[in-house]
Amino acid sequence: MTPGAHAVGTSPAPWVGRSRPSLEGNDIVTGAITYVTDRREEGMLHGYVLRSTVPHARIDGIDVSAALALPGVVTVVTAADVPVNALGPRDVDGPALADTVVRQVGEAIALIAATDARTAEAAAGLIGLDLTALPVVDGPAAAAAPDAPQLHESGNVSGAIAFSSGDVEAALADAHLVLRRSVHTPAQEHVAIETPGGVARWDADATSVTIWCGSQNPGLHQRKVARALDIPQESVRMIANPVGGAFGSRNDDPMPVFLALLARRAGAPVHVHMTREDVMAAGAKRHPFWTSIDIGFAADGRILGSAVRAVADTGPIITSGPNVMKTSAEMSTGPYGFDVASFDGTVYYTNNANAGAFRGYGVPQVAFAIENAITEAAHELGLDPAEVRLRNVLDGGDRHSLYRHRTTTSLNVRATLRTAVEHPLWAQRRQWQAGAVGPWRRGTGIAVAMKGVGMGSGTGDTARARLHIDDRGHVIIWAGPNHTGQSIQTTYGQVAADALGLPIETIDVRVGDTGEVPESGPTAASRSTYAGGAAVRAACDELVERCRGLGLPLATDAAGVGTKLVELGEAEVNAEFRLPDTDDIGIVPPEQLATFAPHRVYGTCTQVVRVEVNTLTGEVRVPELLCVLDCGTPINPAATIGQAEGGILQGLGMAIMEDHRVSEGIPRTTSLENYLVPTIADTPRMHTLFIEGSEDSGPFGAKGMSEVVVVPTPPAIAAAIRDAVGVLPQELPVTPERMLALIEEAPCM
Amino acid sequence: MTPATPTLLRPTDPADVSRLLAGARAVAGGTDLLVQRRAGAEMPTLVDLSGLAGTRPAVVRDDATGELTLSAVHPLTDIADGAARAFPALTAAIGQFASTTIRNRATIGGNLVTGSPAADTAPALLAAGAVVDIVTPDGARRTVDLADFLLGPRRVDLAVGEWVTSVRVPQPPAEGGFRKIGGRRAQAISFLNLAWQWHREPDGRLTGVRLAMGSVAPTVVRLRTAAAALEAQIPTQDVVDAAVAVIDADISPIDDLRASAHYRRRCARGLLREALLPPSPGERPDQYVTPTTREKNQ
Ligand SMILES: Cc1cc2nc3c(=O)[nH]c(=O)nc-3n(C[C@H](O)[C@H](O)[C@H](O)COP(=O)(O)OP(=O)(O)OC[C@H]3O[C@@H](n4cnc5c(N)ncnc54)[C@H](O)[C@@H]3O)c2cc1C
Repeated sequence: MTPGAHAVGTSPAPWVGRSRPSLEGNDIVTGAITYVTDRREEGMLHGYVLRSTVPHARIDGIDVSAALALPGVVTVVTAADVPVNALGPRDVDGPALADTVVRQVGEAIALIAATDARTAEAAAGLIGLDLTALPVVDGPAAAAAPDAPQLHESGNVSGAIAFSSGDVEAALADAHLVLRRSVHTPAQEHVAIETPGGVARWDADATSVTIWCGSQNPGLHQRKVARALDIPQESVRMIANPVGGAFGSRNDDPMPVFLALLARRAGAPVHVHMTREDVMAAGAKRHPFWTSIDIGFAADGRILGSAVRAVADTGPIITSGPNVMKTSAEMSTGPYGFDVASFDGTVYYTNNANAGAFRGYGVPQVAFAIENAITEAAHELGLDPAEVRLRNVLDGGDRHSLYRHRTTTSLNVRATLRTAVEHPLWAQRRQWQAGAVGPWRRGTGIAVAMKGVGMGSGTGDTARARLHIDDRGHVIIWAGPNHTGQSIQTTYGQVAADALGLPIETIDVRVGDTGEVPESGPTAASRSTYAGGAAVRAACDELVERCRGLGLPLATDAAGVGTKLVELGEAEVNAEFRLPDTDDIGIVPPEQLATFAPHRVYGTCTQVVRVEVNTLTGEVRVPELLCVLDCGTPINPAATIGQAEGGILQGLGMAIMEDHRVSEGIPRTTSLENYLVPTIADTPRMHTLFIEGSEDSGPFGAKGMSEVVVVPTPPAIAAAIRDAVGVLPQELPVTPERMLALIEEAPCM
Repeated sequence: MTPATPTLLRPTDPADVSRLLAGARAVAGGTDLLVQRRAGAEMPTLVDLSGLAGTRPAVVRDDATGELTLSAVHPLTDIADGAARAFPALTAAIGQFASTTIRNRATIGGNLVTGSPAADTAPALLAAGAVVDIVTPDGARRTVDLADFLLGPRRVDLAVGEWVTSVRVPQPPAEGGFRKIGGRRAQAISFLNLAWQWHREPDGRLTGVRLAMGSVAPTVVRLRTAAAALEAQIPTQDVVDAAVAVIDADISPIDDLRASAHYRRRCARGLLREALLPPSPGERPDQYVTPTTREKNQ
């Protein structure tokens, strides 16, 4: 049997498909776990980051003398002290510390280490900044203006991506219905429970640094630190967990660099822990988008063509901007198959909050435009909203509407939709509506989404695993992507136990330490279970194969076999999984494959949601939601449901309350008192269902799902609002104020 | 960074409080004060009033007059338990206040002394005609109408060294309620809130109509004009329209991060209209679809 082609269902595996509590769950619940920010080292100093309070200014001078003179202060680091003052290879990656200019409220200007945190903060207040205010680029429109101040030598355009599979306007000319609509989705903050921070320790003899700090990409952070400190990559060790949540925010985070700079200059371990207020100002956000769509339908609801244009604000530095837009481009046709599509997206630099990776990575923004258009088209055409979607669904193996590339056969949007429409939540939508009381109107909405798994074709996306068996028959597996709160090591252990046929207790999985784990890329792009799991599977299969070749009975005598392998010098296995490219790249120019990076494998999801809307106050409540997932084999079903529920709540937050507001370059939502995220009281009763399915290239048939679950929630809520009160919100979040304004503008009840 | 608080005094006898408060500041639930402290407010000595809760009941009802005495130092959870049906608007307000954990700490004293125009216990108390019982630094008592106690945002009629011991309201009528609008269903500062109480006469007329609204003026305010429009009337469509139409006379909302003045005006009308809807069988709990067999098995 080829790796990955393990038949699911025919041989019920003991661990795969069985819910297993996360390995560290007990320690989390009892508070016993030591998160990276809880770590304390002997002789540790406390660091503080001085940040800009203005959005755009020239730095004419920085005077640290008074800060240095404060008793207890050990060192102050400014741009001039950073060996290579850069967060990446390109100018637009931005400096580690602001040197000639600050371009954002919250941008780091200086680092202080002192004997205690209070002194470090006090010292920051003594740093003299000589700043000259510069005009503020307060959004994409300002960035694009002909006389706009240029935030980088390369200009204010951070990236652009355009593609067309044909003449959309010609296709729309024949359409029965053409909708031209614009939507806006807000900047969203991740609100990981643990704010960034950790500890770094400099070893002067070895000229090396060890950093305990959360990261979704320890290898990337290792390279960033090595660059800034101008030391070899091997001299940097990132130990990137346990961490209390990420959702994209530990991808672009400069904190490991700050820690390393401080530890080296101070010659002592240094601890830094950001406040929530610092994160609100300085942490990367979900890109705010302005998306418009022109889409045409035949009378029977079939989509004839669509043109999507998107504009995003990435703030002052590039972080993930153009990559996010790349994902938006691919997903601008939604989970639908039709003949002609185009996309045109531009990402701008501004003096607003920096935006970066966030679960869903550019998909929720464009999906809101498409799904809203489908919802509206269903009403206009007098068709059932689920039926319109079913008529357009992209089936496994179909060609993608924009790039015409071949999708995986495991793609099963149709089954998620069919399962959803049979569920009582959808089937009984009229009864729900009829039960409305007082000013509360009721509605039900449906939306569908798909999202690529992994970095896409042409990118060489690879995950690796290393395995060792000892003379007791115990196995250690070092694997990535890293744990960022989802307890991926628990899942890797299940894959390994079934692949090896060994008791799960004898398998120890280690992640997140660049000193031990082979480079496996980021915890991102819904790739961890799929790619990391497949690498673990490959390592295990190779060990099994090796034992078979040597005639060693691994499953029945692991200790004996381990002893023998150790003797033979054959006890270690290294394996990798390279994510397969699409078989057929369609109309994407081969030399530009990585530019568009179309996916072979997609996770998909349909959601049905009930809402109640108060027509007198504009309040929106979301009491119940169904999520039907196409994720292949759920290796750890409880963990998968947990991912779905968490993602849904982030989608719900984006839909009705979360809005990171910045005006004139100044963040206005500065804490969790005025930036609202859903609480348990706002949490709907959620039902998550898995459809039958298996992805051939994935471990035991699994594929990724943890981003796609965010995507349908906002448009499903919007559709439910449409069903309840007859107006379809095009701007998120739908606060009570926006809702009441919509009801009053268009009273069609 | 949070400034240090070197001294925390925890009296258990009310007679000790005034003496300890000299040069110090009171803390009850700490749910507002600790936030201020984290924001940098210096508080060298704190006197924790929560220990006084053990010395008396949360709510006392005068059997002769029906007057309720509400402790200013008990957690709101205890107040709601003690007042229950005797004060429906306050019980409803506490039900919508913050979250269980905050309600287990926060007090009426802290809520009123904070002087927030959005304070959620204030509308019900104001509508009920509450008076505030204050202990002065020499241990004497003074009593002030809540309407006079609330002076403006973060300003109340309380001198240094004084503390609030209780709040009293004349017997509230059986019909009353409270609604708040926030950005989410818990842990949210009110964009707007409304408390009401009235008697419904056998012929359907409303009498003793008292309305108070928060977050629409520098302090929580009575909606006297709207109440007058309802007084002794049957709340027919026309009467409701007339009452709603005059709300603007008593409110002066502003734009802030949470909501615009325009929304507050619109929503103020909506809230009053909602309060005047014929009494329904009661809020039904969210109706849930039972999980399918498939969900149960997975
Ligand atoms: C997460 C969160 C959610 C919240 N949600 C709400 C909400 O939904 N609605 C709402 O109205 N408020 C809310 N608040 C604000 C706060 O909880 C309330 O104002 C609460 O009633 C304060 O009571 P306390 O006992 O905790 O006051 P404390 O914090 O102990 O004190 C507040 C102030 O009052 C003074 N003080 C306290 N008691 C007395 C007394 N007996 N005599 C004299 N002075 C006194 C203190 O010196 C201090 O200045 C919230 C706060 C938080 C942190």
